[in-house]
Amino acid sequence: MDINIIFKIAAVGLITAIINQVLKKSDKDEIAMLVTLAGLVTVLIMVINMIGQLFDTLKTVFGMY
Amino acid sequence: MEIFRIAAIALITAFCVLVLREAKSELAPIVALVGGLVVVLSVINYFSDVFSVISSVAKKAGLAASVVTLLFKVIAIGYVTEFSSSIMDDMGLSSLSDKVTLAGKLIIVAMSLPIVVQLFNFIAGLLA
Repeated sequence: MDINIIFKIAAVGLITAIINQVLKKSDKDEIAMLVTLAGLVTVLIMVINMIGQLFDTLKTVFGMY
Repeated sequence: MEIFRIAAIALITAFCVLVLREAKSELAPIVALVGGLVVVLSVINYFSDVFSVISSVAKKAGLAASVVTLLFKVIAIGYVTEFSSSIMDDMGLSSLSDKVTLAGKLIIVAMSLPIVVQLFNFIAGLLA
């Protein structure tokens, strides 16, 4: 679970960065912006699930609430 | 043996962040955040073992259960505050991180007020 999620997010970041460069060179800047946003949103969804998991574990471990 | 795996994960995360920063992607700090999450999630089970031992020792020592649970809550709040403020420092937003730290401190102080009042009453009782 642990290491490949880092690779997944790094891969998404790299691909969006490369696509950005390509789109900027062919001066389609607005599509480049959309690609960046799409990459960001997909990564944020993954990260939010992990943060939720961390906070739930903290709640159960520390017996809060 | 766990520590080698964690060190490897942290190193790999650091390299990924460097590569992403080189590619000037906005996801570099997010990869750092996920790396931190993975490291913490892999050792979080030790927390529960340590705390069950601490609470049983405290029970034997006759400490009130409320004090121990409050201690655990304060530790949890302190940890979450530190976790989020260090991430914001990574992203360069030191002002936001200071505000989160201030909020964490205030919550902890507010939660530990009853114990402080209890302590003062106890001391007053001794002196009177």
